[in-house]
Amino acid sequence: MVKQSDVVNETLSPLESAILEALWQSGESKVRDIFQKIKTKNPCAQSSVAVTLDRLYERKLVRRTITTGRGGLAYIYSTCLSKDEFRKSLAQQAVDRIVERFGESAVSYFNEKYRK
Amino acid sequence: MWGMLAHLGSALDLFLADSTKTTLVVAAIVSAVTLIWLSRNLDFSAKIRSAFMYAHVALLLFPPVFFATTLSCKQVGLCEVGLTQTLLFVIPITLILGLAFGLLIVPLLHRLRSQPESGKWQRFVNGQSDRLGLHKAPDVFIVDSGRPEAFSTGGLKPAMFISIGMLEVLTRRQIEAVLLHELGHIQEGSHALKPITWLLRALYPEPVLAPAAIVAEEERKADAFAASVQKTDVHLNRAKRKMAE
Repeated sequence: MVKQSDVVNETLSPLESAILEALWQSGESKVRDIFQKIKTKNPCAQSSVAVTLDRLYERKLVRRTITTGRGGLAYIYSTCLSKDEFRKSLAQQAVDRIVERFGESAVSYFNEKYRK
Repeated sequence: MWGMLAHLGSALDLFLADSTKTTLVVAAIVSAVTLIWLSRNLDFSAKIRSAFMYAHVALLLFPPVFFATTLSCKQVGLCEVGLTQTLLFVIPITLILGLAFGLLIVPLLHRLRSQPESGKWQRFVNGQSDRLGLHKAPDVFIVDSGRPEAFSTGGLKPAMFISIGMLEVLTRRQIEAVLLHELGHIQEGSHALKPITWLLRALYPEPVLAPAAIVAEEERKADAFAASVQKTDVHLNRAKRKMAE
């Protein structure tokens, strides 16, 4: 399981978002499958998808395993977090940043606004 | 023996007592460590990482070369030679030694970071090497990277490196074209050329030779070799376009 601290530190590019969406929908996928899925809405080259997936892997947003198939070696990618966990971690980061910047005022604001 | 070590020790003390020299040595070591951190933590292509490795080797060689030069200067009675003059001697020597050591070490580091390929791509390279009458077929290695890239190293044991990312995005004929292009480089023995052109660029800001033109000519020869074997340049051009996208 990926540590909360390792998760996204910055917003995603449109291609990164499209790739993650495709992975959340399809589960484990190869570069070619992801490319086929996103190419109509996000016109790009297959190599751009490969490079972007490599970057997402470096940022620990996706995991990968190597498989040997008919076409030779390839990666099978999957996301490290579910879509819900990912959204939560983004929200948590945003809230943490606000609290860090505004301190007590932010905490009391959240208390008033969201008190049940 | 002990006397010699004591002499070296006192010379080192004297060397480190000079704050400018110590600062330069520390700066070189910090830069070398920073380069390692950068190449491990940021997303760079294999070619940039290779350039970092050469720079890393040169930066690590700087302190001993600097010390040895200062020491020998003292031995021959040229102690009055200023720091600038010493550096004018030390920097080119360090770069030349960095290149020489780099040519030995960098291929080894690439091998350590990759997995040997013993399947169809190695068989393809073996077959083509036999056809060309090469003394020994280069080893093919797989680089664990999703970024499509390929490169080769020369020396006594030439090797080719192809990434999994490249295998994923290219067709069989395109991969063969890339392997033939790299085989062309190995056949021409042009591996030392790139680091030498970097060195020339570092030593002569306005070089008499045009390093970029020399490298471009070597690339053209490797392309021509691949096209002559495949009897078409379509696959290589498509592969290059895909890898550059």
